[in-house]
Amino acid sequence: MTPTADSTTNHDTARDRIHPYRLARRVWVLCLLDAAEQAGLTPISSEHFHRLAFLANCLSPAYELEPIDGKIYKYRSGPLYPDVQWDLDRMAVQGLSHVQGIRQLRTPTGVTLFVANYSMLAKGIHTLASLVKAPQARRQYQFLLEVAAAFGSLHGDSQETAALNDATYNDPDIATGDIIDFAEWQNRNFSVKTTESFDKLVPYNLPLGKQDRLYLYFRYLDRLVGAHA
Amino acid sequence: MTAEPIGGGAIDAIVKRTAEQDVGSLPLTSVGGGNSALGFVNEVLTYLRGWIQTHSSRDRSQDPTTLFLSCERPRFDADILGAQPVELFKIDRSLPLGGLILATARLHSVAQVKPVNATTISLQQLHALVAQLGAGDRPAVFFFPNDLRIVVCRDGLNGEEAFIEYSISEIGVASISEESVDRLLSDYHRFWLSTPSCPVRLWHDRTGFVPIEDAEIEIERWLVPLARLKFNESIIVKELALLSGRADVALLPRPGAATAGSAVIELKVLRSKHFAKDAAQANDYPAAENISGIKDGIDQAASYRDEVHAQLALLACYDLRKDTVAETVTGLQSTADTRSVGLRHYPVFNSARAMRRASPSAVSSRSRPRQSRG
Repeated sequence: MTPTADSTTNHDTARDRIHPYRLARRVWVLCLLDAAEQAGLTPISSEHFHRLAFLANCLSPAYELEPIDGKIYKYRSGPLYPDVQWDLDRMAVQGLSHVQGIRQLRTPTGVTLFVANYSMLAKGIHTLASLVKAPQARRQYQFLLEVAAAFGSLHGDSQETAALNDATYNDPDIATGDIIDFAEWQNRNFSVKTTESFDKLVPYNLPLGKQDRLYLYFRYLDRLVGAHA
Repeated sequence: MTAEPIGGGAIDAIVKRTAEQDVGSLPLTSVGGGNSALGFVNEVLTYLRGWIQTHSSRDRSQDPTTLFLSCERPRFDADILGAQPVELFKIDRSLPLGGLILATARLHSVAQVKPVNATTISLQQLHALVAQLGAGDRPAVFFFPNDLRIVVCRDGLNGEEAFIEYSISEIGVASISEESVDRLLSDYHRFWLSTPSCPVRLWHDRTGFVPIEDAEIEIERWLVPLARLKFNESIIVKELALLSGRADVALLPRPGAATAGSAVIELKVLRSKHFAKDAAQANDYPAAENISGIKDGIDQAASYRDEVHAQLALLACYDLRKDTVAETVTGLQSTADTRSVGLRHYPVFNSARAMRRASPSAVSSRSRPRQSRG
């Protein structure tokens, strides 16, 4: 979802070199898109991608990884990362990913967004193969593969609303229009807390690994959304 | 500010329910990690278990053969075959199967090459489709719905030796009993382990009788998905950490489930040779160590059973020695009886010829007709 009047974010331009942080973010976005590809989720709508990105960000500490962004503006319509959107579109122009189905969407609040569907191109896959040779990128990629696979395991309607029902995004103390800070200055990450709570609740004190907690969390979201339905 | 505990009675109840109901049925391997064949087969078996239960009352005699083929990027593969990706598994299990199904690591989204309602597709057609895809080396699982057979092709359709047939007619057994656990172990041995052509590879150098380095772990790894298939209501875990050690495989009742029975299974490999990368340099494995290993296994099985209050304890000995004589195991029967541990002996042959030459009674043996501890 590309805001039509987005000029506030300080993106890279043709004149300045890409900042290492932005490069890391772009690699992260490419990893996540490929993870969605491998989970059979592509072409993925921008709306779904931002929701998946939020869950991946929020759950990163469960894999002892730094989130690419530890805060997010709480929209009623769901998570939206303008920077991630910039990277998505930029990569499409670079020929790393494919964009299709571009259309306008008018939100209930009157904002007009461009939405589209994204998928990987062969060039993106080959580029990624080189990028994930770095150990840190490899760890991130492995985590994102699991997140996307777990996200893909949600029932269709749960995929729509899982992020909105996420323990952190749905924190009742954070009103719509406020910033959810789960890893920047504060530590209000109830999603990770929930993953940790499984250890005390599983029968026979069965040992859980990071992957087990992650999947349990997504199954919890699936149940939660089902309960709401 | 620190995070506060999650709250809300209804939310907590869902978290608790998830922990109780879903543990023990989670993926066995990482996406994109090692042992992708194990993860893939586990997911297919899990899916088929649900599918068969959903269709338990239906006449499956006309249902077509299905081939599940592992793929990393189903959309790319589907493009090659001119197929439309369909989201089949994550919706429900009510749809009929059939044709070639390109399955992701978690089977959540697939491309089905033939229409979902296809009624006939021959094996030759399936092979041709896989060849067209250039995917003969990918893990694959055939499913024959009419007689509930599966064929696992661990190394893909090109790896002829790795084809194995397995009947899943007894899936979803309600309770864990000595008979049902024995059936699991004997089927597992017969179809998955007994010869070098079986899917579970235990030989580093079969002519020299040198097993792989972690033979017990390999046996345990593939036993778990089959146990989950058979005892679908129970919690099946491997390497259960206990005060007295780690139970190789534990079959435990799920809280709130109507199923009964519980068991711990210890696994031991009897060897003629130690592992060595250079098989020619492998040292002999002393016979006394094999006997000592069985004795330890009996003690471990009994201790783990008592610690988790299981009803059954079994020690399964997989015999990879040159001379797979059951007497090594049966000679310790009285020790096992004292601890109420069921002792089982499963010879693993280094060739199909060796298996044929073995007397029928040597193929597998239960050293005791029944054992149970209420």
